[in-house]
Amino acid sequence: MRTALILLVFALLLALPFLPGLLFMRRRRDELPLHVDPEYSRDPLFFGEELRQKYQEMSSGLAAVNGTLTQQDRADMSAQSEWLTPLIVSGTTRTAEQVQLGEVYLRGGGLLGNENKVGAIIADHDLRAGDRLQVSRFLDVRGQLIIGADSNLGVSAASTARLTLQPGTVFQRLYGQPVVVEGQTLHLTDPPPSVGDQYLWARDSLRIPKNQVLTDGVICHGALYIGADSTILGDVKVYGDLHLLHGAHISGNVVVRGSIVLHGNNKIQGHVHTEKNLFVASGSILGGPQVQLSFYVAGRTVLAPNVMIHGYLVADRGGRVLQSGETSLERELQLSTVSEPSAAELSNVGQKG
Amino acid sequence: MVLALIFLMQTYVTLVTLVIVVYIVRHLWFTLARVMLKQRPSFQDMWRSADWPRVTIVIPMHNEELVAEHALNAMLNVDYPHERLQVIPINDHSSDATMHILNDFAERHPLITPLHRDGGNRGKPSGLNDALALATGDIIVVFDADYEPPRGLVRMLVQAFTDPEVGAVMGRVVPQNPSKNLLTRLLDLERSGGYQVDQQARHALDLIPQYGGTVGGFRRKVMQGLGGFDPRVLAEDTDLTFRLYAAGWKVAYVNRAECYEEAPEDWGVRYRQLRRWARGHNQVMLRRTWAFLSSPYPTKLQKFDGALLLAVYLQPLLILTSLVCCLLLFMLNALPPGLGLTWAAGTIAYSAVGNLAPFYQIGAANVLDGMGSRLLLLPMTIVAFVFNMFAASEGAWQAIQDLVRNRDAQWEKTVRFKEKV
Repeated sequence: MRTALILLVFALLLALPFLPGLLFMRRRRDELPLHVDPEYSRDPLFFGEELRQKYQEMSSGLAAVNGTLTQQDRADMSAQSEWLTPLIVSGTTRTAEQVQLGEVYLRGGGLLGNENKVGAIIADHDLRAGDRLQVSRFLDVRGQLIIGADSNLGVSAASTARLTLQPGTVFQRLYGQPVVVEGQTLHLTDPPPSVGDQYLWARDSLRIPKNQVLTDGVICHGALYIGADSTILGDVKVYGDLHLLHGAHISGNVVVRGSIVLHGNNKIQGHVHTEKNLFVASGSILGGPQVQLSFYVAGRTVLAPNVMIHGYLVADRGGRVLQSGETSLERELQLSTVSEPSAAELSNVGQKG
Repeated sequence: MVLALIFLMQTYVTLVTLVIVVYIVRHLWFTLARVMLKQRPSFQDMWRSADWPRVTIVIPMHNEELVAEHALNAMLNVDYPHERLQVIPINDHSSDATMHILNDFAERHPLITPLHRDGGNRGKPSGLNDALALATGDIIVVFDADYEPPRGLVRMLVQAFTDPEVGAVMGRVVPQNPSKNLLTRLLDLERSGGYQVDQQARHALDLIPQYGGTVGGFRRKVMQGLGGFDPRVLAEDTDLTFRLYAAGWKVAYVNRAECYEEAPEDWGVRYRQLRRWARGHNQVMLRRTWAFLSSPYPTKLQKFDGALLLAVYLQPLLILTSLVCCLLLFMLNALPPGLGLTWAAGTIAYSAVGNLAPFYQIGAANVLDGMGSRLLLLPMTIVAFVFNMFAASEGAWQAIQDLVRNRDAQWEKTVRFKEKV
């Protein structure tokens, strides 16, 4: 009897850890698999598409409206007014200073005054915003989008045409054809050269002298410095930081574990992926008019004036446009301490097929 | 003689226990790195509107009439530019309606180019080699026949080749049928631990993420440069991973590139699947370890992690044999104090399924996935541990015999459970 009791207690204790799991399965809770969206497709215009669809459903009565859905032929809003319920404007929209808007669908174009605050705007034509615009969610414009100085663009600012930024603007995602930081306009006319299949391979840092043309790509396990006016006709992979000195040019994709610093008048004609920061000095062009590219920055992004970006820039930890005359970029990066590489430095390099 | 045997068994159990401890520390490191460290970004956040490379999707099929239509419809639905896409379903010696289904799709959709194989070796590596000769894509993306990729998956995978060092890419596999029975529940736990924590940590720590043979891709020219797949190896995915690293290439893991799979619902099917994996993986260990460790390209840490990864499917055989030794030593009253307990604690801590993920790794993965209630199932993994120990041990033993007898392994197809369209 005592043995049987001991065995019973032993069996119960042995089964105890399995009971919660057995009950979990018996109750048939949590039956669905981990959710994978079968229709997910990455799109820089995703936010705008979703809101457009929502507005279409609201205006046709298919979706509930949070508040009152208002449809107007045109809108003229006076200073310090606010409109926080859903609004569709079929004509043009003008707002004065310090107007506050919720979610707005501008079927015509729009002109926003200074210091406006908006939740989200979708527009089917050009939109121009004054200085110090504050966006809490996103802007999506099927036309030109011009943003005034010292603005905050929220999660995303996308334009199917030119997106123009002024100094002092902060952002997270930018999409434009192209994105232009206001100033001198630069046009890329030469087509991207073909990218080679061979790579220079460096175990440590590599400094490429000025005025060189490398027909191979570069894989560098340290920092890579590309001398002034030098060109790399291939893809570049760098484990440290990448510095393109004044006028340097890369024709292929750029994948960097460290930060990327473009010192000025640089061109990159491939996709860019960096695990740290991206600093772009004046006169630089990323991408080309024929090639919409992707620029992913896991860290911060800083753009100087007179910069042009063709494609989609994602700045995971935010980005900003430098103020005119601001020298913090130079101070932050100590650009003056980066010396020009000499010709003898291109020796510690191997070849990889 | 008996004393010498006892000493040998004591030494063996001690060594196996030490090896298990090394694996426990390794997986604890992965788990902590996944939970606490900043994750290295992968390539899924990139986007492009043009200049997509030409891609060939290859789907090996052997008697896949139950799933062929699902798979091909999913391929036609992907948002990759169709003018840059080619789909090659491989009808590999099928005797059911697979051939007719493929031909029917090919007639209606010009981007589908079926490859019918009724001669030569049957099996995935041989089929892939034939498909490579037919492929026009710069990038080859492979799906097993029971996989149905979401619309944006191929783009996400292909973006990884922006990195010129990436020779292959791997996405995440998610079981579609976790609540079917205890086995599918356990496989779901295993997949979570294996991908959400293990693969992601190896990617973040710059170690050896593994190309898994499905929901992944590789550069065609690189594969052709390596001489194609070895038809004698059952685990062509592990084989490719280590050949790539030995040649200076890397494997990228994209955690957000998720794709449903059908997990085996029958213990017999699972036993054969795991036995094949273990046999193939150990074949690779026996063939590729030296080339990998002597390559100048991987770092020391990658070599250490790679060596442990190569030996991972040898562990069940080591555990099983050391368990027998433990029992013999116990009966001979020669089990040193503490050793048996350490062995038991080690194996219990290490006990899990498939990828041999410890319970803390599976737990962390489910919490990260927002599936915390599934932690209640964790003690059940002991069932899978015992089951897997036998299946994987048999596979490891077969791999050793393959080497000794210089024999070729036969490919075993995994049975499908999905109902026909």
